[in-house]
Amino acid sequence: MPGSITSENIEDLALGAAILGAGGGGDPYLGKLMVRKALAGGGNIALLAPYELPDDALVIPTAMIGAPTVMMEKIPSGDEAYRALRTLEEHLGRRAFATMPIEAGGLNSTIPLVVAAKAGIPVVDADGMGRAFPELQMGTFHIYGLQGSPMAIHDERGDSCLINCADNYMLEHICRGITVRMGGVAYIAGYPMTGRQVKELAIPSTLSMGVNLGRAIRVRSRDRDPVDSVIEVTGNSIYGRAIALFRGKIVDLERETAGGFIKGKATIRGVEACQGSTLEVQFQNENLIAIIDGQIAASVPDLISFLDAETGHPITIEGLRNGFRVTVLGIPTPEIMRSTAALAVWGPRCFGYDIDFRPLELIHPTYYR
Amino acid sequence: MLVNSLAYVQATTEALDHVLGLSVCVVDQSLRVLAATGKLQPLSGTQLAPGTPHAHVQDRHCSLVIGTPRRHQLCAECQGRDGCKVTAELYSPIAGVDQVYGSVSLAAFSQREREYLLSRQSQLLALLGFLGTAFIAASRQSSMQAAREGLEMQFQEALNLSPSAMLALDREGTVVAANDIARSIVGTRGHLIGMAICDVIPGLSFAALVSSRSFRAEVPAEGRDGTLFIRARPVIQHGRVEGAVLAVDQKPDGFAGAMDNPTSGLLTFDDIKGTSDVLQQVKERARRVAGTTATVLLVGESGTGKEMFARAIHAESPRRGGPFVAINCAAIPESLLESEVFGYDAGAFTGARRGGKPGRFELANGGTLFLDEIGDMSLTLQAKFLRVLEERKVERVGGTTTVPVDVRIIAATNRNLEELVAAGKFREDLYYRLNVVPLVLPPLRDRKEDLYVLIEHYLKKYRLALGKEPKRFSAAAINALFAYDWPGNIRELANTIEYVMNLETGPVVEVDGLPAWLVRNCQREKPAPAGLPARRGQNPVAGISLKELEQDALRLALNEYGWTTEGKRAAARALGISLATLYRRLKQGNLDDRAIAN
Repeated sequence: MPGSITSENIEDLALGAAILGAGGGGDPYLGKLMVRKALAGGGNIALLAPYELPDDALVIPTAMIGAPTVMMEKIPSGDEAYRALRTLEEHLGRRAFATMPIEAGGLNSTIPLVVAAKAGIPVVDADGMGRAFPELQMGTFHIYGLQGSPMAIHDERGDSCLINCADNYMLEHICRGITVRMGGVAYIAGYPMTGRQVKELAIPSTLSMGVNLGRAIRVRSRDRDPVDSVIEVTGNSIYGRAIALFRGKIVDLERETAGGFIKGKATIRGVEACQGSTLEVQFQNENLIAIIDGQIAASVPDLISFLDAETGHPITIEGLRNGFRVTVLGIPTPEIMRSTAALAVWGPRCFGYDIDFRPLELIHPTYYR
Repeated sequence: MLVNSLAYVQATTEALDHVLGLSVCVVDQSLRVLAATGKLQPLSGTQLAPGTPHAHVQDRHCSLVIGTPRRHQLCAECQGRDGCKVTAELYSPIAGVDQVYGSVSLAAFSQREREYLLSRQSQLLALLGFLGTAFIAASRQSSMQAAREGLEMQFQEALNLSPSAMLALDREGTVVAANDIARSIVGTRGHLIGMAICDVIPGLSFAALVSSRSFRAEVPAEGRDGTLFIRARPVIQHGRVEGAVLAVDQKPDGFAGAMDNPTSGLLTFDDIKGTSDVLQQVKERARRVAGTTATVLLVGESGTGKEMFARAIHAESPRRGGPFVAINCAAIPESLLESEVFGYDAGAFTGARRGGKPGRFELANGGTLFLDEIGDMSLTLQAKFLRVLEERKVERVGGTTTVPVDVRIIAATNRNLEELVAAGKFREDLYYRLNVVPLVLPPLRDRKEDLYVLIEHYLKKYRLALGKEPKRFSAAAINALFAYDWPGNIRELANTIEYVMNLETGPVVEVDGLPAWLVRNCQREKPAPAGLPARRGQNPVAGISLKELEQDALRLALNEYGWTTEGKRAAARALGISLATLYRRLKQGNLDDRAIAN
């Protein structure tokens, strides 16, 4: 798809990015409004595939950090992330050739588009997480050795900081602390890298994947299950064909907010072919483990996403309600997200589960044969 | 219709007689006595005359009370009037909303019975009304049961006609119907009916089967060589999965014949990877033409997936249940091509099989015939071919009769047919006959953005197949992969990724981990003289089988001369083997289209 992002693509991206959010990442709605505002004067945003970047181009990823729900009360002006980019550019003494998402799932897929529209630079069709994750260092940039510092952080009042840290864990720690002081939500520009590094470290085609997923849901054909359309899109992507793990009705929800994370589980009673079975999805900001009748059916980093069984629309963890009829999808992740180094940062054990990651293709060999 | 539930009618009338102490008689629409009890029993099975009270109540849709038999006007013409011992009678029609099915009567034969009958006539008439309704319901149920049994028999016969093993499952995933082939293919001893599908085909779950509207999978055949190809469709009624129907076919491992059974046509458009606009457009056109019977001409460089497109068109056409037969016009020696395509009769030539052999045209009857490398067909054969396409009839070599064939043609070529026509090497009339719907498949260099999806697809495929660790590419390797022109297109890309997955030991593939020819070509250096690709850190030939060396030599030669037909011809010449042998070796080494497709 690389070429450009239009207003129509933004609508689709907001829908599709929520699937890649795997239950988290925040609702892309506010981000969508910000991009629409930035594009109000007409024009599109140039979208570049990583291979199209010059090796020496400076690419600065941008993102929102903190709790997406706080944004509803602390409405952003829309240029916070852009100002963070400018702050970092001044510090580096170079203008960015392009920006890109750190995280493709949820709200953060849209922030770089706002920045690109304001700065008049392209956005790279790639990111560092391939989905949503709760912490900054949970990304291929960190996993494969890139320093997140220097990082600029801005809030909607105009406060800003420039952070230099010895390692990415400290960067996450300090950045999170500043975000709390800034009121729970802030905007960052960090992990500055060259085009060469983008090609090697980033997960390609994730923005266009969000757009394609959203289009599959929006352009519904009368005789086709929208979930089937979503599955078809995943099959023709760098992810891998999604599997409908379960269809059922939410019968129990346990959600508690602890230490800035939503933790808990959803219990789904099977209908149709899943009649008589029970699915339990355990989450910590994102859906992490799916267990059907005591057997692990999917685990992080493979994506586990709830879709409305009728419309195919994604449902975030905050949006889950008892009685909802849902289809739960498992989406295999690209290979770059499944290496030993990557699993040491976002495998099941990193979230306190005493299990090893098993790819969906091995858990469901018949489906993937 | 009441006769459908005769046993029920007779048992009920007996019970009624027993309870009321009155004789009961049930008559159907044609005035035949279906059941009669007590003193009326001799009437059972007889035919009543028109004009009798039963005929009267059926005609008028009303009940009737006869308190003074023999003197009643309806008794006037009764032949048994003089000997009649009946003292009172009640008649009631057995009627539905708009139809009369018969009538029922109660008869008293003594004064006491008469008083009982007449004093309770309204209750007894109501009872007869209910009885009639019950008879109608029972009859309808019997009719439905009979219709259902008929449908089940038709369904079973339909299953038996199928060349595939067929299984029907209920909503629990239990087998409720199967044909004989199912028993032999899935190798189940005993009775299939009633078994859970996961027990019939281990590793196959019902939930997975009904997870999509068109399920496809391959599973190893339990306890024997080969693979089971499974196609399934869920049966959905009012939004609920009520069951599923499966077709199962067995293919022995290592099956490499050019003639395929319908089951190997499992490829669909979903298997053709890439999101570029140029590919999406040609896929969309192919999808639209799939539903028609139009002849399709696929034009594209070697390795662009022409056979995949042909298979996908077949799989989405109304002929999907028929055979998909592929023939490579460049791979079969000219002398054999004619008998291969058209078949031969007994005694057609020395060595001809006794009884003759059907050609690919006949084998493709009811399905699709895929003619690859059509531009390499000789002029003589083209003439014969054109006649078959025009007449839709085949005459076997050495035969005297013609056989009608119903075949959809998909032809493919990587050559410019218009130029061949201009040069007099391809018949113009055949060109126009084939070029009904031309589809031009884009080369990989024109859709570089698809490289990400394709590379990832093959990384996953070979990693899972080889049980290796996931790999990623260094920036320099990515630059090399995107700078390369991919003359062998997707086939070459698949081979490159397989090469990398086999030989790279670390998690990151650097430029020197890529095949040497690729790096050489993208650096625009003159190719080095032919030799064996070095396996890094090893003696180049130590521990490598002859077959591997041969495959390496083939790959190297094709990368030197190109993966086009011309390139293959030159490569075969350079290797000192015939073109047909080269194709055969490519197939043996899975270096052909089908390897990429899977």
